[in-house]
Amino acid sequence: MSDAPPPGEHHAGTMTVPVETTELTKRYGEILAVDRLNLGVRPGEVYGFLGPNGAGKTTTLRMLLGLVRPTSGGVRLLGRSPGDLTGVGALIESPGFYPYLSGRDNLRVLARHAGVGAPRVTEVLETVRLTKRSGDRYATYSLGMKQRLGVAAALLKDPRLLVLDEPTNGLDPAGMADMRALIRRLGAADCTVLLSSHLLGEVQQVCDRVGVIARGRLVAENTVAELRGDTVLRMVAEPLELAASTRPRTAGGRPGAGGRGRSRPDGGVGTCRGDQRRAGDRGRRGQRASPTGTRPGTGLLRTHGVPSDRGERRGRGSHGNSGGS
Amino acid sequence: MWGSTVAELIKLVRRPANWGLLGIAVALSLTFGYFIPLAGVSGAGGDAPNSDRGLDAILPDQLVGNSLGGLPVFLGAILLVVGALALGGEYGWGTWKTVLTQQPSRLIVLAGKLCALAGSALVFVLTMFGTGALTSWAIALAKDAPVVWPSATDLAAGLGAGWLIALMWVSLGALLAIVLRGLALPIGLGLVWLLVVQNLVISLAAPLLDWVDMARQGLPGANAGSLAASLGASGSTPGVGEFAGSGQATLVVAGYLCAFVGLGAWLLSRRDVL
Repeated sequence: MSDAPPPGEHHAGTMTVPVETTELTKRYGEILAVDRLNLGVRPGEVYGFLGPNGAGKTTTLRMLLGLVRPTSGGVRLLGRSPGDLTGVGALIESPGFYPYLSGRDNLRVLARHAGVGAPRVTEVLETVRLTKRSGDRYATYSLGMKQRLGVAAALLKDPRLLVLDEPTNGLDPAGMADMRALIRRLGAADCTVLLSSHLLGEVQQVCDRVGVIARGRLVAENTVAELRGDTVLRMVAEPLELAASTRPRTAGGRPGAGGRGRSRPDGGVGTCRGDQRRAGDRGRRGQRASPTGTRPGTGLLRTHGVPSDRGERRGRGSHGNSGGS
Repeated sequence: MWGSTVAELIKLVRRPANWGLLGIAVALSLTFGYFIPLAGVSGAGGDAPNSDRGLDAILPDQLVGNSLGGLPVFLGAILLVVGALALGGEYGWGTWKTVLTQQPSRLIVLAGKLCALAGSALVFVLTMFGTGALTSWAIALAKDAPVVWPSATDLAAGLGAGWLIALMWVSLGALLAIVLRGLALPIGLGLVWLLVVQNLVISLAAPLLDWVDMARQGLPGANAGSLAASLGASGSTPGVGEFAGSGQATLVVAGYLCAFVGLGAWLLSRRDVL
């Protein structure tokens, strides 16, 4: 990876902010795809951009990369203006390559565009373990090989920031594991990774921090462990009045949703901290149980349509066709 | 931009469809430009088009006109397909995003594509001239006719005009692909215009209606046909005729080329890549 940031980069303090959006908005006619999104990714972290299909993840990433023009708001990648992708590698949705060329020739073509030498093509093919089949036509590749070639293309420029949009889509379990291991390796190196996914399990396995997007808005941003905190999550998911009137009581006689928790009308993240609430509930009940009766650790994420680990396992068969937002 | 140009050249050369189209173009050019007239000379041509042109029309001294004759319509249609393939394939395969995330700007990628297409159009025209020269030379030898080649000036003018016409059709194909963000529809619409609508306007409507006759002088195909005719292409070839002077025809064809490229660049830079 490159050591010194190129001249002209914007710095926050002494560190370049890899990804920074300010009130980023994209509207397609009546549809508000991304709504005043403020995103900040820290140097060196693997950041999970989590949300269900149609939440606005891919549109956001396309705006970051200059493929889609924002309706309003600002974007800076590695401190630079949109469109300047120096030091940035990306795989957006399904990989797109020329089917009549071999995997290696596809990368050679891209390397020419990027101004990268041919030896780097060999290096990235080895990184994604595709060297043996690199001479075969892309059209003959399996889905997993296509995804790996997509990651190889993203690595061509030896990026300091890697943007990956659902890179495990359509992969079998072994392929998913390989891909996640690769992302972890990259994240462990001097590379910041922005990983978009609709799978909680995936983000949990590889990411340091997570931003949850729903209906185009960033509804939560924290570490995975914090976001899986069940009490706060349930509290913000359902307003007290609605919960009290509609939710059945659990076997223990507790209110079904959030008890005394304050909630915002828009269902966004409240001000109560999950660990404080959890401590209070535990103190009263004297046991570690979910106050809502749901499986611990998925409240907010479920509310916003993010599949849990179990959901991921169930849904694997259809992931290959899931579209981006 | 050089890197993008080389990248696009690699893609053009390695794409089998382009070689297939070149082969079809050579076959069409030789068949209608030389073989059918030769069959007519031998008395086996029947009523086939161009069969009554005679031996003199297919000897080496007619190389320039014969090589340009197909460009206003049939070869033009093939070049339009080449242009549409080069740009439209990027939409079909979702490769715009792959290329653009490698750093180059949209306009640099487009410029690289157009440079590569310009190179391929020149190769295309040179191939027409080369295969025509070989064929006419073989006919002259076989028929004991004199082998007289066009002057270097005529050859250069013919190559230049052919390249200009070829560039115009290639850029029209590219523009249609950008406008329609795909491959099938641009090719379909482009061919319908080039092979059907334009021919109907030039051949049928213009002689009947004054305003269509006036409009014809501004059409790309009619001006390409005029340019080819001014350099010796046979008037019996579809799309070829003296509808306008050579100077005007050159300017109009060049104007269309600039307009197609400019509009394509503007659209590509403005639109979202989805």
